[in-house]
Amino acid sequence: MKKVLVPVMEWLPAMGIVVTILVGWEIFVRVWNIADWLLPAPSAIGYTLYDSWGLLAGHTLVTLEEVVLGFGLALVSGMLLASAITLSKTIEKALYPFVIASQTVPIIVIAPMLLVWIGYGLTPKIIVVALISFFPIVVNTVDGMRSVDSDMQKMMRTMGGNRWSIFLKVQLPVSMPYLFSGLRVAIAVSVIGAVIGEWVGSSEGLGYLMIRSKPQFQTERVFAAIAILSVMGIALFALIGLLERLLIPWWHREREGRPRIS
Amino acid sequence: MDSKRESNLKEKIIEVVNVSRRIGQGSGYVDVLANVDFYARRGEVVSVIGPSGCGKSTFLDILAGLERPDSGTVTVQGLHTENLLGSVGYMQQKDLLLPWRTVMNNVILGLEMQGISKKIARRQATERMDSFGLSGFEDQYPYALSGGMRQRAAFLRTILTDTSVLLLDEPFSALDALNRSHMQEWLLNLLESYDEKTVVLVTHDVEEALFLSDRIYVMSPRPGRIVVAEKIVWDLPRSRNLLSTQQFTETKSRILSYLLSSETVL
Repeated sequence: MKKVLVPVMEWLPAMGIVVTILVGWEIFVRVWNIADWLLPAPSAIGYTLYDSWGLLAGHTLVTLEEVVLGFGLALVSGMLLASAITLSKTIEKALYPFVIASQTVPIIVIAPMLLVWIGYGLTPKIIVVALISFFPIVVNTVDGMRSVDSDMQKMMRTMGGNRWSIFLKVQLPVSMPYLFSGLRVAIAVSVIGAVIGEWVGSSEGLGYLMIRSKPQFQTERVFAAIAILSVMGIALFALIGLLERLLIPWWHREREGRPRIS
Repeated sequence: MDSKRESNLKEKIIEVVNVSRRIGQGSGYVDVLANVDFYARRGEVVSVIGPSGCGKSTFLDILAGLERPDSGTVTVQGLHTENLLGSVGYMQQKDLLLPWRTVMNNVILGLEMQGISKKIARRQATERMDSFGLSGFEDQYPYALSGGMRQRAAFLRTILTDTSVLLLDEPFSALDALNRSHMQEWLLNLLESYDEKTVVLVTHDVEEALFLSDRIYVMSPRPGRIVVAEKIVWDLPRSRNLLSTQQFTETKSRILSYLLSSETVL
C-alpha cells in the first residue's frame, strides 16, 4: 500500500498547482465573462479535446513522428560527432566552432530556408528538430567523454590499452550519464523544433493546426494543441528517464550508494 | 623460511641509473626526481618510502613506461622506457574499478585487452577468486564491495595480466588501520606464492614497508633522491609477532630517523 502511495504523494504538489491554476482560470473567465476566442475556459478546452479528438489525434501523430525521427537523427549524429571530437584534436578544432555556431543562428531563420531548399513534407521538419536538439547531445557527450579520470587512462595504458580501446571500454561508458542529461534537454527542445518546423510551412501537425485555428478564432483548439504538446513533452521526458534506468543501472546504484558488504 | 635471502644471486630485473625528471618549463619547473639509482632482483619485494610529494608516484610512472625520464636510463626485463607500456603490472592508489562492470568483468579487463577470449579469461579469473577473497562476489558490482575487497579486485586485475613485475602505489592507504593490517598479511602470503614476481611497493608507512619487503629505499622530499638503501633480514619469520620485536622497533626508528633527517624542506 505504501509503495503505491509514495509516488502519488510525490506528485501531489505538482497536481495541486495544476488544479489551482485551472480552477482560478475557470473562475476568472466565467466571472469576467471573457470571450472564447480571447481566452477559452479550461472546461471549453477540455470539451474541444473530447469533441475534436479525431482531428487532434491525427495531427498529434504527425508531430510525434517528426519529433521522434528528428530526435533519433540528432542522437545518432550527435554521438558520432562527439566521438569524433573526442578522438581527434583536428576534428575538434575544425568542427566544434560550427557546432556552437549552429546554435547561434536562430532556428526561425533556418527553417524557412530549409523549406526553400528541400520543400514541404516531413524531411525539413526532421532536420529542424535534429538541428535544435543535437547541440545539448554533442556538448554533454563530449564533456562526459572528457571527464574520464586521468588515473583510469593510466591504468588502461599500463594494461596495453590504446586510444581506441580506452575510448570503447572507458570513455564511452563514462559518457552515458552525461548523454542522458543531454537527451533530457534535447527531447524538450525537439518538441519546440517540430512546432517551429510546421509553422513555417506545412499541411499537417499540431503546429500547423495552431497556425490555422488562430485566424479562425478557434482559440480553444490552439490551447488544446498546446495541452497535447505539453503532455507529449512530459511523456517523452519520462521515457528518457526510464530508458536511463534500464540502460545504465550502475549509474543510479553508484549515486545512491547502497550500504556495502564488508 | 626466507627463500628470498638468496636473492643476491638472481639477476637485476629492474635497473634504474641516474634518473632525473623535471616537470614544467621555464621558471615554473619542479625537479621531481634527481639522480635516482635503483634496482630490484628477480623475486624481490622492494619498498620505496618517502614523504608525500617526494616523487614516488612519478618514479612508478617511469617504471611503468607512462613517463620518460629527462636523463638516465631505465631497464625493466631488458626493455627500455619506450617499450615498457603493457609489460609491467601497475596498481595505483585508487582501485579504479569500472562501475558498469561486475567484479568478474572488471578483473578480466587486462586479459581482454591482451586479446584473450572472455571464456578463457573468466576461467583464469575463477581459479583465483578464492585466494583473493572474492568468490561469491563475481557477479556483484563494485559499489557493493568494501574498500578492502575493491582493492583486492584491483589487485587481481593486475595479477591476471601475468606480468613478472608489479608496481604497487600505496595500495592500502585508503583503508582503515584494521583493514590495512589484514590486507598486509594477506599480501605477504600472496607474494610468497608468487615468488618469481618482482614487486616495487611505494608507501609512506614505514611499518608496512618493513613488514613486506626485502629491501627498502628511503627517498627525500622534492627533488626525490635516494637517501639510503637498506636490506631487511629478520631473525623471525614475518608475522604480526615480528612487529613487537626489538629488532623490528630498532630498524623502524632508524628508518624513521633517515626519513626525518631527509626532510629539510617542507
